[in-house]
Amino acid sequence: VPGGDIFFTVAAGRVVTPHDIQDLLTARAETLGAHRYGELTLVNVGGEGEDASGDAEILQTVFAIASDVFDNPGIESSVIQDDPDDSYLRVSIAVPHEDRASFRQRRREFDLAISRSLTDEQLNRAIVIVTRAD
Amino acid sequence: VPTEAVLDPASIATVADNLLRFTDDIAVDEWAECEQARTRSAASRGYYSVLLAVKRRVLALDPDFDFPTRGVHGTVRIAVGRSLGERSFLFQSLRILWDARVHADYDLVGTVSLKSAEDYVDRALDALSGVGGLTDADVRKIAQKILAVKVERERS
Repeated sequence: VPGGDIFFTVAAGRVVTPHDIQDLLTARAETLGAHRYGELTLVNVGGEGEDASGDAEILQTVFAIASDVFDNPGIESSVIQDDPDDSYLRVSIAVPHEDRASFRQRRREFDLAISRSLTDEQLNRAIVIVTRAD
Repeated sequence: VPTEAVLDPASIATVADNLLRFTDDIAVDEWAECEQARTRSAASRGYYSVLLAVKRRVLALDPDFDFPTRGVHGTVRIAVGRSLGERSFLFQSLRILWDARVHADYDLVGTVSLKSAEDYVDRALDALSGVGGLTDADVRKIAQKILAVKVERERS
């Protein structure tokens, strides 16, 4: 959100929808009445001039896939703008998972699902990173 | 492979992975105290192993291939995307590892955890397998796209 960050935690319940995220983007977090397990953190989604609703849709898709593939994924996102004319949505997912080898296999499944689910435009906009949480 | 090539990019990934382990030859305390340097180095080396593996495949077909001296990272990445497709595992991994490498090499704040560094190295190892599995025709396409992107960038 231009000029500020919003953080929120969601617990068990229903899928977070783009509409829910849109509510957050307009600083009406209180309207998000239901939740899903895991922690979702939005950081500066949709900076000035950015298509916040497009980013929210990407986050919704990524979060749904992450929740299908992993247990209790945490998502953090930010718009990275190194160049005034170019920016990308960095979506970082941390998964509470100990075993390196089995995570590697799950990550391959996740990569494939992301590749199949996001549109060309969304894939170009977002970099989706998943690693194990500390 | 060019006859003068002495660097095996896959060996860089091996080094990256071993940066994340303890060895008998290094004092445990000393090694533990530099964990951030090791995890960041591993993430960075993971990225470079893949970038250099792509360059190596191109040079194997054309030892005189003229890579750009500036902006080679973006040029190779874009060329891989245009030739193999932006949904390809190799292209997406180059983007992810590049992002990790920039943070690991340049940010003084924030951390790269041991687990995430291991996961970046594993991604690099998977991407290296992907590079190894490219056909010569794939590599020629990448080489052509590199030259095209290079020209585009020089004009802009």
